[in-house]
Order: sequence, then C-alpha cells, then structure tokens
Amino acid sequence: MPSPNDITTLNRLYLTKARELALQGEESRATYLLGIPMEALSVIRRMPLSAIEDLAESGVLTFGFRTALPCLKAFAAETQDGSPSSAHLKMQLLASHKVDGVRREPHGRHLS
Amino acid sequence: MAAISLERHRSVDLALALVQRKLRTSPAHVLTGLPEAEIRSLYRLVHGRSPTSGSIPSTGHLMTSRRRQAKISVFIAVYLGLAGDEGGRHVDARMLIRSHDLFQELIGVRQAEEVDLTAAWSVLREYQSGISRRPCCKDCGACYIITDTADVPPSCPFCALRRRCASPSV
Repeated sequence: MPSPNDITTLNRLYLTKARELALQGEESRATYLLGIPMEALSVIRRMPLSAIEDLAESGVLTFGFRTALPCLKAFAAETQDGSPSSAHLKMQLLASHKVDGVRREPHGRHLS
Repeated sequence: MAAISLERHRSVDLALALVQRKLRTSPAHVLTGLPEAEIRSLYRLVHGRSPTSGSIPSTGHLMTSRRRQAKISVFIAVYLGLAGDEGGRHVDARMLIRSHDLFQELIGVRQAEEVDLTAAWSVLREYQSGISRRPCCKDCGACYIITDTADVPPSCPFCALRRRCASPSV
C-alpha cells in the first residue's frame, strides 16, 4: 500500500505542473499531457501554492489512469520479456489517448 | 486605423512563426491572409533562400508506408488533443504550431521530419474536410488515419508494425 507521503508527492508534482502550464498560457498542453479538464485547470490556475499543498495532502490521488486498456495490453505483451519498447509502440500510446474522455471526428461525429 | 495596424502586426507575427518552421507559401497565405508575395519575401529573409514551390502533398501521397501512416496518426491525435472539440472543424494556426512543436517533442525531431509543418497542415485539412477518416483500432485502442488514395491498406498501422516486428523473417 502506498504511504500517504507517496500520494502527497505524486499529487504535488501533478498539481504544480498543471498550475505552472496554466500560468504559462499552455492550457491546451496541460489538458493533453496531464489529462486535466480545462475547467479544473482554470480553478487550479487561481489557487495559491498553500491550497495546492493542502489538496496534495488530501490522501487520495487527484488524477487517474489514462492509457487505454487495449493499448496497455499490447504494450505489456511486447515488453514482457524485458525488451525495450519500440518507437511504434510509443506512437501507439500517443495515438490512443483520450482527452476529457471524448474522442470526436469532424462535424461532431463521436467515435466509440 | 490603429486596429487595422495591430491586426496586420498579428498576421505578420503569425506568418513569421509559420515561416520559421518552413511552412510553404500557400498554407501560410491561407492561415494568415497575407499576400503570397509577402510571405515568400519573409521566407527569403528568414532562410536566405526561396520557399519550395509545387503542389502541396495530399494525405494519400504522404502515407507511403505504415510508419508514415503511424506518424501522421500521432500528429492528428496531438492536434485534436490540444485543440479539443474545435480541432475537428477548422485549422487554427497557433494550435497547428503548438501541436507540431509538441509532436516533435514527443516523438523526436528526427522521427518527426517526415511530417513537417506543411504535411501536418495538409493532413489536418483533409481530415477536417472528410477526405481522410480516423477510426480506432479494436485490438490496440489507437486511432489512425486512413484515406482511399494511400498506398497503405485502410487498417491500423500500429498493429501492422507490431506484427512486422514480431515476424521471425524481420
């Protein structure tokens, strides 16, 4: 079981990175790379560091796992013997990321 | 008058950012609204030579291999990831720059060479207009670009590359 300190450290890194990107005007990058919804980002952007610290110490992770399960399985299968992941496997991970849980095609068509 | 001047400064600033990344003249003209002659002149100032001329490659022409199809698919994923819902509707010049810069960061500048900014603009425009499509693979979960005019089959490039790597003959 992870110690409360581990959770706090992970939260602190995540939240301060999100806040830093937001303050730099890199909201879209934060959304894509960190998976943080834009609405949450605009709140975190305005939070003082003391509040970030309090949130980090909440005891539970403030972010979730984003890698698509089929992609994770493919990654695990290819690297199970300890061999390094290939370039195309890394690209596959990038091509499978969802943002805000929604993927769309042009003209609002939703993808399954 | 001041508003027009400020708008023009913004257009020139944007054109400069695009030209520094070697975007060709016609897409830079479409994205900034500046005359092509002015963009060509800007390009010569920045790079000391004229921009490449000729037609802009289509997605079909660009997707000559599975690896290229994979890279194009990653670029589109990054653009849509950054641009959100608007990403599927129109090409935003600033978002194009941001997403291409991030694409280079994520897969490496050398790996990204095959999908330069002009190619990125072209594939994005064709995706938005429905010329190419972006299904998601049921086996690996990745979304990939397909088009009727490409040399590669309309299936998942990531699974194809994985199978190729796993094949004992390779």
